[in-house]
Amino acid sequence: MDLALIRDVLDTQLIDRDGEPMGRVDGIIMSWHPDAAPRITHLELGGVTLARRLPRRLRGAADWLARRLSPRNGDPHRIEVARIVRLGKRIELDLDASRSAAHASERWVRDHIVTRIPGS
Amino acid sequence: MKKLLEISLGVVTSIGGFLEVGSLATSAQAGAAFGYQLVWALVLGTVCLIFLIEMSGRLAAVSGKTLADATRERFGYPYFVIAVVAMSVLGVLVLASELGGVCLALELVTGVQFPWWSPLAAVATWLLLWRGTFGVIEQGASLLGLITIVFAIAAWRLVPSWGPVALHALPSRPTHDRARYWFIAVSILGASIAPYLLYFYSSGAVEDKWTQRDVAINRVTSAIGISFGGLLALAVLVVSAVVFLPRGIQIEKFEQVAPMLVPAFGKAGFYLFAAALGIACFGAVLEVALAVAYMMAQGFGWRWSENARPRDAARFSLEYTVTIALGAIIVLIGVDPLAITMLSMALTAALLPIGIVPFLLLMNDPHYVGSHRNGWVGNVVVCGIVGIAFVLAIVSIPLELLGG
Repeated sequence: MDLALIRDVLDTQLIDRDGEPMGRVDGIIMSWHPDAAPRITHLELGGVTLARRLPRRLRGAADWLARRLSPRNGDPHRIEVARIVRLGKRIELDLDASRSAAHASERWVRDHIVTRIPGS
Repeated sequence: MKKLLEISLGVVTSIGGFLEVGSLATSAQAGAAFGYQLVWALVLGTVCLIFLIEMSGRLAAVSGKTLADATRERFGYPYFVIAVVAMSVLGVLVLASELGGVCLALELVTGVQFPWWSPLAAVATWLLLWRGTFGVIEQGASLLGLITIVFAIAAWRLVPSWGPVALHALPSRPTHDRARYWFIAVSILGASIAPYLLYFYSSGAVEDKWTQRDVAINRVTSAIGISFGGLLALAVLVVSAVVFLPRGIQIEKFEQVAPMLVPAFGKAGFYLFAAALGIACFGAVLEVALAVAYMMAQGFGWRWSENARPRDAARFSLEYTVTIALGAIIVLIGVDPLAITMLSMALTAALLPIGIVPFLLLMNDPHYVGSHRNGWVGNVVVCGIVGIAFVLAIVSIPLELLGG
């Protein structure tokens, strides 16, 4: 099956092995060596990756904001392509979202804000 | 039974999203200032919304994706950011208008000034989202929202003949106050074609797990639901024309609209108006808050569901909480509800192309909707009406701001 990286992979919803959403493909990492064929190695997630995709003028502010809002200082989270189980309308990964760094801010919001409000 | 429930999604979308403070305020102003003359704007807005709602339900049923999902995937993150920022800012303004409507209804009944009700109304709506499920909200709001039928009863009692109303289904040029006329026309279009409805409806369809089999019933749902809302807005316009125009009353404050139902129902009309206003706006607050949270969560790929407990969809729940809080602050500082309503409705019209143009492209893309692509009628109608709304908005908003 041929895939167009921008059309079929970039920005696609990621789900873990239980079908839980765990973000979208914010960036795609390719490795290249002069004596080997280029190879897609990772999917990248995170606000800093997204900031890089904005027009030049907005990039600085978006990068700053992403780092401030991120619980891990915004370093992008990389997922090895070997973890991909199925590629379709959504991308299934052999991972557990609740333990993944992709869910770090979901956990932070849950533990520091939402569960402190009664009835959550 | 399942079909009945699906129709209720159409009706709730219609009541919460159509007959709410925006349609009430714009229709009442139109009737008071220009009689039946602006009926055409309401007709255009309703027809356009029927097509758009049908499309967003079809997108969800066929592709399993909501409008926000598809926008991010098809047009990429840089475009999605523009859409999500525009919709969030607009969402907060519209939510403030709706919450203002709830508070005004409470002011009418109690005499306590509206800003003081803001925290209470905000907490009440928030609590329903925090503790309730999508089904409770959908069915509760559509059932309670039926009270807005009082406007239709009033119109039926008061309007002497419907010929002149039908006559104005076609546009005509104003005889006086031209700037005001076009500004109200734009606000009516913005109040009718509210883009947050599309994000809400397609998310609701996914929450209710629609499939390709629901495409036909979706067509019926959207047509019935939205026509119902459109007729109610028309009822508001004609009642306002009959009640206010002969007395020369210009609507400058929301309180002036309140006696609208008195000629039809006597003293009870005052309380019926307050109840209809409060309930319709309450439903709209829920819808707008959810729509903003849905769009954000889906676009970034977070966990989202109104049926999940807040701790299981933390960022989604935080998002609607923040949206309601920001809206409540605007009401609390006492911004004039009528002014913010008219402005946010006109701004909606101006920003329509940001949401609608990519949506139309999606609905013509076989990659997403396969053989269920748009026909040319839907494309032409939506393009035409959104185009009209956009051009009118660009021309009339500066005029209104300068003149007002």
